Amino acid sequence: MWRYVFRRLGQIPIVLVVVTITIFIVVRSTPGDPIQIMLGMQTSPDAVAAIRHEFRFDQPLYRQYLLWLWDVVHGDLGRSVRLNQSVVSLLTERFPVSFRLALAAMVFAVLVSIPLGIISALRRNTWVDYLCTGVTLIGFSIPNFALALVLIFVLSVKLQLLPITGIGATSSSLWASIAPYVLPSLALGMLQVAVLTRLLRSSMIDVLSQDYIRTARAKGLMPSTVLVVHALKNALIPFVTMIAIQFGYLIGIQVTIEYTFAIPGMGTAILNAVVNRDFPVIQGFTLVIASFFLLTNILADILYSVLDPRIRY
Amino acid sequence: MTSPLLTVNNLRTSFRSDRGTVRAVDGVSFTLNRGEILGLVGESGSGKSMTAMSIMRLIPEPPGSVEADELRFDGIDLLALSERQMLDVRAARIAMIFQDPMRSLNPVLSVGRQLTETLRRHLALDGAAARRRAIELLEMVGIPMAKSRLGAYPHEFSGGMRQRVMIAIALSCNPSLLIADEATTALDVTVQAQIVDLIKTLVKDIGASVIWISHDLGLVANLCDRVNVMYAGRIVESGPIRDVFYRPSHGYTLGLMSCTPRIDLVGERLRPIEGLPPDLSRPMTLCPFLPRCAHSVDRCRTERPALIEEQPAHWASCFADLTGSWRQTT
Repeated sequence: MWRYVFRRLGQIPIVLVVVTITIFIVVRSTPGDPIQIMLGMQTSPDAVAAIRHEFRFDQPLYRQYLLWLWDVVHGDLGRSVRLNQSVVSLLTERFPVSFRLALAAMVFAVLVSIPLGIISALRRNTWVDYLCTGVTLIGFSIPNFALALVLIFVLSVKLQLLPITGIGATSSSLWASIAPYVLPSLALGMLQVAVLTRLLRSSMIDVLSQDYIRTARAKGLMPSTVLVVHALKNALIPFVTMIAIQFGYLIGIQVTIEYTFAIPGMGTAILNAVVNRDFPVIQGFTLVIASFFLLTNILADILYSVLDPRIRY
Repeated sequence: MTSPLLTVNNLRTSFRSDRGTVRAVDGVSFTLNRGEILGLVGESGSGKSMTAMSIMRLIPEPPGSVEADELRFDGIDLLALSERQMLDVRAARIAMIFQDPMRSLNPVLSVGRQLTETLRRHLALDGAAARRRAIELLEMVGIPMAKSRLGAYPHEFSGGMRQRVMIAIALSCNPSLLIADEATTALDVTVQAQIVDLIKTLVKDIGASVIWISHDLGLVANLCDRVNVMYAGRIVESGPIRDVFYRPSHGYTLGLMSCTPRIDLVGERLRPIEGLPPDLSRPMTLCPFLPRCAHSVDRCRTERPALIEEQPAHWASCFADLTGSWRQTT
């Protein structure tokens, strides 16, 4: 087990090198120079050259990459070209916000999808099931920014129940610090509700038709025991692994939601960085998002073996 | 003799489907005496398992529907019980062993857990007592180092060992009736014999009756006291083992026996029964076996034979006179 975990962790650097090399080449081969964009067209060529030198943009590409990599290994992701700030300090500001938002969205998705998935499996092909299918269809088909606008209009503008913005602002009460997360996490988590509900429904239907469920019923066990202990425990195996995978994914797709709700998370930071060709920020954030995704995938595999005794690494 | 342990009278189990109503069990009647081992024989889809599931009231309703003029077990009218009351009958009074031990045990629960949950449920044993009893049961079915195997999962056992675990679970509450549904079909032949012997010994010890469902005629002949032969949801022949096997009185029984290998007829070709079982969603006015029968007579094409007592205690629903059709080589 531990050998497997260490082997998987050992694979991470290799993947990250491939990812960062790709990003390195892609951002530098698109038109637009970060220094020119920042300083404007009127600046003297000497000043531009000086700053280019400071950011090592005048050096050959492979040298830039190796120097960057050397710094990364020493815990330095460089400085933002645009903001007078190190990439590490920008990340420590932005990552917790995105992490909390992803967590809130996932908690919402799990709390909704477990009952929906179970009910639609048990009441298969009845109106309850069709209603759940309808809800998941909405989750699949509405883009999250559109859902965000609907939620803002109904819950904030009309009913005045929840604030639209406020994440990152200093707040006095607990509710005041939680409330701004509600709408974005609903908008962000709706797709996960759909994904997880469909998954749990189908795995539950599959499990309920298994022979061991018939055995459990033939043992005269309470229906609730059959459902929770015998069926759910099996059906949750793919579900839990999917949660871990989707969580890694959620960190990277918040851009439109963050924009809509003016959230100072990683999505807005990376979007600004792309617009301004802020190479160090793009590279640093990509590195973190990719690492996070890889870690959640390893976590999913570990959870798999914890939940299913048949799987041993 | 005292009253029979189980009386099944005109059991009808059907399923509603898009193609109409499928009559999986179509008027089955039989009795099972205390301490008796009754064989239920027939090919796949003949209604053997459906009969067993109906007695256990494990048929999902809807789409299924179970009706009977009488379904009495040890003085209890099973059809009158609520689902909640039925929970106390299952495993405690009527236990079942299923065909595939690979798939009949829950893969994510330890063997100990699957044993003790039955004991806790029906015998109200607490954790430690249930554990002790579970170890006893595993030893009883011949699992070595039972104590250390409690925490093991089903995939860590071989097929035969898993079926032993299933037997331990089934017999854990000393049921009066054990239904073994193809209990040895999925096992190797050598393991089969061990499992059959084990079940035979254990049910004798606890005084349980057995309904042994199988398509293995040789096995049924060795194990059972009486046999019911089922075809298309009905019992077509019924009687003491020796009578049925030495004087088969239904074309289907004869056909089944002709396609079973015999050690005394080396070199003889087996004669399979041609054709397929009938579609159970269609109403049947004639003998359902008629299209496949090699012994049909004119009367078979005009009316459906009833189950009549052709010899004392030997019933069959067949017009043909099959005397002498079965080669007796003893």
